[in-house]
Formats: sequence, structure tokens, C-alpha cells
Amino acid sequence: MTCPICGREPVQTSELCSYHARAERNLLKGYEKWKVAYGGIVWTTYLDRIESLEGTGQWIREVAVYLRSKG
Amino acid sequence: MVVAEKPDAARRIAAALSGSSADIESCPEFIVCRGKTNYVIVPAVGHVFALAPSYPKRDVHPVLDLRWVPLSSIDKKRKDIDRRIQAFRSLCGRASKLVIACDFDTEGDTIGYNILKHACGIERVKAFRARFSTLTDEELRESFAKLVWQESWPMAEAGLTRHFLDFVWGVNLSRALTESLLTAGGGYATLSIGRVQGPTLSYVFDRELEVRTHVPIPFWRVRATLDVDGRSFSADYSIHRIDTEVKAAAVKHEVEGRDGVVTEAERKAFAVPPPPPFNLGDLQHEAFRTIGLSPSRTLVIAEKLYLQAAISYPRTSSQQIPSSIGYERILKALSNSPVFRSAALSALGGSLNPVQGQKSDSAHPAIFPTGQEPHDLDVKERELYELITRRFLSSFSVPAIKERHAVRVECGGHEFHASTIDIKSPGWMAIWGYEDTGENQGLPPVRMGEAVNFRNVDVIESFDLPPSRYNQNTLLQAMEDDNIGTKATRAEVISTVLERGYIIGGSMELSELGFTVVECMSKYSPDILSTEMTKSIERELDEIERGSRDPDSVSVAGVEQLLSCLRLLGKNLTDVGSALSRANVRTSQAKAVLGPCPSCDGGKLIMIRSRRTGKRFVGCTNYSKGCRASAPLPQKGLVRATSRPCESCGWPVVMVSMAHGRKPWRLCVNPNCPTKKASTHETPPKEVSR
Repeated sequence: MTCPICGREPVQTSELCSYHARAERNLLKGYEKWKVAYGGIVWTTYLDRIESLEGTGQWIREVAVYLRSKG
Repeated sequence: MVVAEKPDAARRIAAALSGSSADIESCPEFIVCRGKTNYVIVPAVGHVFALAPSYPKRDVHPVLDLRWVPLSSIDKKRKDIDRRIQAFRSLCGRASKLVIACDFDTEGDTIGYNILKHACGIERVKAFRARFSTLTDEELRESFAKLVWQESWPMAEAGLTRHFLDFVWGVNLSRALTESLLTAGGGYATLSIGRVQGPTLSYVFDRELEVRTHVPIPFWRVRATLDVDGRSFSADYSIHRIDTEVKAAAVKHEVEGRDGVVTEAERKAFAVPPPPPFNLGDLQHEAFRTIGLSPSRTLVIAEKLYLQAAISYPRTSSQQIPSSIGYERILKALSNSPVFRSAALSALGGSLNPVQGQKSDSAHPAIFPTGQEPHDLDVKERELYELITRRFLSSFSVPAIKERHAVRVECGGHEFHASTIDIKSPGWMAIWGYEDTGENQGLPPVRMGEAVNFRNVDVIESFDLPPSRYNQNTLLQAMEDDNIGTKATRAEVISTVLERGYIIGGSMELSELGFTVVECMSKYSPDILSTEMTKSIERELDEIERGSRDPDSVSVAGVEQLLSCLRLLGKNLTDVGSALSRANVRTSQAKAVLGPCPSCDGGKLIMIRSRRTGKRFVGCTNYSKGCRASAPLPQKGLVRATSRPCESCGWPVVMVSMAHGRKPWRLCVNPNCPTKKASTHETPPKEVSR
């Protein structure tokens, strides 16, 4: 098994490598903050907007695409 | 016999010590200078000896047994070194007195000490030391009138220990990395890591993690346009970061269209004192910020200016210039230059009491112009000289006076602020000339209690930005803050991590290879990435320099740490090699991509080497789909991609760097680029490429 995004070795607690697992954690934490900030936001809308923002990190963007593809 | 560090310095010393040019006879290896005392000045060319393993075979591990050998035995192109060593050897036997007149710092002492020990064969080096900070005639004569007899060489010992530790850490770990690659079948690549490179790479790695895992979090700002007596100005809500959209909308709703009242209107003047004269770090930062020079190039130019006796010794930590440098003499000399005349005359009319900084250096003062006009400078060299001189002149000037105008307005329980800063009197800023002293639009005159109307209120949605990646300037600052490396070596370390391909581009993005090197090191040799280890070695080297520590104990402790790292790395050589091999391939592929193909959809222009002719050229990844976009490339030098395409034709622009210090130049790869067509008829091709 390798990280489905980059092919690195996955961490024990996730199917993702340490970098993308860290990005996934940040993405989920960010979602909680976005929900408070906008008074609620749908997950897919959140992912859409995150992907379109200039300051979004490269690994965050990759995880967003991956999570969307997973459905 | 006088040992000088470089031929230029030797010529200056000869000129200073002789009564006239008739008293000087020179040949390529030495200069004879007759006067009250007859001197034979023999120049080195920087280091003429270098460390090398006692056993030259590369399969001996670890490499710990080192000796100092002539540089020519390592670098076969440096045959001139042998002639110089021979000159030292044959002349020292006939000398009644030995004087080391290399630059007065750790490296200068090390160069001089090694020459007397290894070229002249003196086992216990005892010699006179000339101490100077500029190569002006006056200072050189004074330093030779006050030669210091030295029987112990703590600065040289610190230098020798630093060279030893850097060599054993660098060569053993770098060889381990390179061999791991060969063991794993990844071919040969030049990989390196060292005790300063490690922490430097670690800074870039930590920053890259933050940038790549950054999630922008939204927040809102509220900005109002306020009307008072027919004039308007902008004010910001007192809470600069509102964390929900609802709260921001409520503020807008509660103040827009209503009247508020001025609760504070204050004008306050304050003085901004001139900055202190430059030390090397400050010079490198300001040169990068104001004239776009990289830290390493700044050092090269500063050394050239020093060798022309135009500025004082640049490798200094000091921000202080003592009166002994002769303020009045320097200012009078500068007043002869049309560029500096008015500032120099103004300083001469003042109290001659320059601003001094906090940092000091026992060996040298801050960098200052000597008053001797430099010659044969190109544009950037001239700009750097001007930067140093303006900073020096600024330090004699009066503070700039600025005025802050602050207004506070309240409306419905909400507070808004507006403020501007105007320059009332530019003071030193007028001499410095690198800061904007233009007028602000300013705030209208308002009084306490006056009514203002909130004509329009905007709610601005914003998002947190990721931290900025390092550039050469901020990385140098981080190294300085943590005291890793020396003022003389930091810029060189940054250049090395760039050359190795660990970092890509001006914004210092970590490459795949850089990531993998840091990953392997943090897993198998974490000490090499540790700032703490490097800092503690730096502290110990400082103690050697002060004479309060035995150099051997520092070397032994450093070697023990290294051996424990190597043992761990050795056990996992294949794993490390496999990871590096994969990363090396990915980095090479990424480096070959120049940019999107302007001729087709989705293709990328890449650098390709022809199997038939061996020549490199540009081709499109969509060649198999019919895209025939291609272009020639220079066959010599290093070609790197840049992030910006050509403004004229949209094709990628590459940066071409040649060896031997020639300046890199930008080149649009499109042979039919309109800019080339326009200029080919006007200027010769060499000038076009520049």
C-alpha cells in the first residue's frame, strides 16, 4: 500500500502519507471553522471554494480532489 | 617577508610601505619594496592549502584522518599555487622578520598560519601580525608601525577546527548519501549535506510544510467612507478581523448612512533616528531589498571594493565606526564626489557624531567608505558602493521627523480608526534615498466632537494567507538569528543548497529531492538537521577564538557525534538510496520542464538532449501528437527555467549561468521572438543575450 495521492509510504492511522494525512487533518479542522464563519456550509461547496482560493496549499488541494473523487 | 592574502592586497601594501613607485620591484610571485625597512611581500590567493583525506581512496570509511595539502593537489587547474608555495618556502629562510598581513579575521589568520606552518615548515608559528580594517595607505602604514608579536594563534585554531569539522561532517555524510544512491542502483548524483546545510534545509522544509498544508480561513473587515465638511476619508473598524459573516454584516447595518462623532483627533510628531552603519548581514539584506543583489553577489562585490581600498573590510559583525577611522578625512574626500558632495559637506558642518548600532566586532568596525574613489565598476557594483556610502553619510545626519495623524470615530457603539503618517522633515532619509518620502493624501482636519457621516460601508471578505516562502534574504536572516554558519559562509551555504537542486526557484520551494534528503536525515541522522547541535559547535568555536577552550576537545566531541550518525545511516543505506533515487528522477524531470507550450493545447516545453548529436534543445511533450514546437538552447552553461514567460511572445524564458563568475542572463527560448528580431540589427549578439 502506498499513498494514493503521491505514492509515498502511508502512516499507520491513514491510507495517506504523513504529508497528505496532515493536509487532511487541516482540511477537516478548516471545515469546522468555515461552518462557524458562514453560519453553515455544505462540504462539497467548501471543497469547491478551497480549491479555487489562491492561498490554498498544494497538498490541501490534492486531498480535496482525492476526497471528492472518493465521494 | 610579508604574507598577504591576495595579489591586490599585496600591491596595496607595497604601495603604502614604499616611499615611491621607484622603490617597488615586482614579479608574479612577490613584490620587493625598499624603504627604511626592506620588505618582500608574497601574496597568497586566499587559501593555498586545503584539507584532504590522508588516504585518497574513496572506499575508506569514515574519513577522519586529514592533512593540509597544497590546493594544487586537489584542484589540478591550480598549478599556480605550487609557484606561490615555492616562493614562500625559499624567501622565508632569508627573512629577518615574518609578518602575516592577511585580512584580520579567522580565515585570514588561518591562511597566514597555514602558509608559515606548511609552506615555510615552521612547526611552532611565531610571527608579527599586521592588523588593519582598510587597505588605505595611512592605515597600512600605521598597522606596520604597530606590528603585534604573536606566539599563540587562537583565531587560526578556531579556523582550523571549523575547517576540520565542516570537512568531516560534510564529506562523510555526503559520501554516505551518494553511495546510498549507487547501492540502490540510482546512478551517480552529487548530493551533499553538512552541519550548516542541514539546519538551513530544515528551515526551508518546515516552511514548505506550512505552505503546502495551509487552509485559508475566512474573516471579514469593515471599511467606512466618512464625510466631513465636504471632504471624505476612509476608516477601518476597530476589530480588524471579524470571524463571522453575520457579525460583519451587523456592523454595516448599524452604521451605514448614520452620523458618528469624532472621539479622538491627534497629531503627534516623532523622530526616526538614522540607521547605524552596515555590518555584513545588514548590507546583504539592504542590497537585496533595494537593488536586488543576492547575498553571495553582494559579498563578492564588497570584497572587490575592499581590495580597491574603496571600503573597509566587509566581513564584519560591527555596526559601529570609531572616531579613529578619521571621520573628517573621509567626509572631505567624499565631498569631492558630485554624488555625495552635499551630504558630505552637511555632515562636516555638523557635530561629527555618527549613530552607532548595538552590535560590535572585536576585529573590525562597521563597513565604511574610505574616501578613495573605486574604479572600473559595473552598474551593480557602483550601486552597492553608493548604498554603503549613503548609509555611512546618513549616520552623520539628523533624525527624520514624522507626524502621525490619528482619528477615532464612534457610531452606534462601534469604533472606527483612521491614521496616516507624514514626513515633516526627511533628515537622514533625504541622504539615504531608498525610502519613499512622498506626501500622503492625509486626513482632513477634524475636531473632537465633530459629526461625521458614514456615507458608505464595505464588508470585505478576506482569507488567511500562507506564510511566505523564504527568499535568499529571509533565509540568510533566519541563519543569522539562530547564529548558524559565519557571516562569511552563510551566503555560500545558500548557494550550495540551490546548486544541489534541493531548492527550486527564487522563492525557495523545496524540491522532491530536498524533501527526501530531509526525510532521510530526520529518520537516520536527525542531529545534522538540528539547529541546536550547530549552534553549540559555533559557541565552542567562539570559545576557541577567545582562547578559553581546547580545540582538540571540540574536534573529538564533533567526531563522536558524527560517528553515531554514520552508524545509523550505514544500517539503512539501501532504503535511503531507493528514496533518494526516486526523488532524484522526479526532481530532474521537474527541472527539465520550462513551461506550457504556446503552440498546442496541454503540451509542455521541456529541455531534451538529442541522443544522436548529444546537443540540448527545447521540445514539446506533445511531439507524438503532432506538436513540432522546438527551439535551440545554449550548449554551454547551466540553463534553468524561470517562472515568467516572455512578455513579448509567451514562450518560456530561461536563466543561463556560465562558470567563472560571469553574470547569469535571461533568454527567451523562442528563436523568432520579436524582441530578438528588433535588437539583432542594432547590437551584436553578445550584447543581446546580456
